[in-house]
Amino acid sequence: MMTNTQTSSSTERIAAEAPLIERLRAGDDGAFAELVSTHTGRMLVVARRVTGSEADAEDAVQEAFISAFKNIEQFDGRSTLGTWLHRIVVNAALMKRRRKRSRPETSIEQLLPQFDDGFHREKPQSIEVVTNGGGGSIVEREAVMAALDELPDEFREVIVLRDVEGLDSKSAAESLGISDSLVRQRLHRGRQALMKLLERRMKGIES
Amino acid sequence: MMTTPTGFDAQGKPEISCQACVDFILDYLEGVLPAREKATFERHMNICPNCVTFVENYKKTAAMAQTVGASPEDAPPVPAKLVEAILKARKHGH
Ligand SMILES: [Zn+2]
Repeated sequence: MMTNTQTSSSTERIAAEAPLIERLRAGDDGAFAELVSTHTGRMLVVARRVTGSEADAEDAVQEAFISAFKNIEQFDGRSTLGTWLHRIVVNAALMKRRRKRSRPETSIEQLLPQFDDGFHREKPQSIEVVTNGGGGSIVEREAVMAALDELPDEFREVIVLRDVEGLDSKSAAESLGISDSLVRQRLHRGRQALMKLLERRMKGIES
Repeated sequence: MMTTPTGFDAQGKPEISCQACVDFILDYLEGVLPAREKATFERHMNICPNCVTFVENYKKTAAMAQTVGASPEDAPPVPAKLVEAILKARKHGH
């Protein structure tokens, strides 16, 4: 798990990585092999979520590692290697997706709630969440990913960074090169649009 | 007090519109909505079932997106070719 403060404190995990970091800085081949085999799986999951493509995800992971190898001297050791690599792969994956952005920008307006004279035009229907009681079912995860993919990119990427990848607004703003307040505005509108898309999908699953 | 504690104004109309209430949701949930707006928001929630449902849906939506990222079980098998390519790229300078 990415955020496992429950299992061991981050200070302990940071301390446990010190010998590996020493070896990486010394250019030890075995250390690099260990780093890559430990982190590639999780980084692929992240890159796939950000790019929405298998091939792009692999490219992004490769680019992320190349950038990490170059910058290992700058790694300050204040976070774990996993957290550091997470940020790097998120950025590499964002670059990949942006270079490719080809879909026409769809309007988000039609997915936002409609008001008459300031009051809800339609009575909101409660979204029934399909869960397996714990970490979310596969059906639910796939529904969320598919719905996210229908969002215009500028909203999708904010939700992926803030909600899915768990970055704070400031880090998301840095990665995207936009202001904190724009991140919050897009997050708010993006969540409302995602809600509408999930509502439609949940209806589809029921019937 | 200018407003009644009920969520309705002197004319018996809701103190704020649903649209205004919806605009407050993110700040409210993150605890950064100023006290006065927070109180107004909460009074509206007491009188408007539509906004109650909407806020519940909003919270569920955010929670579902957060669950996608937090679920540990989907780490895929790592393609050996990819690992090889990454390590080779390092050897060749980039
Ligand atoms: Zn309302």
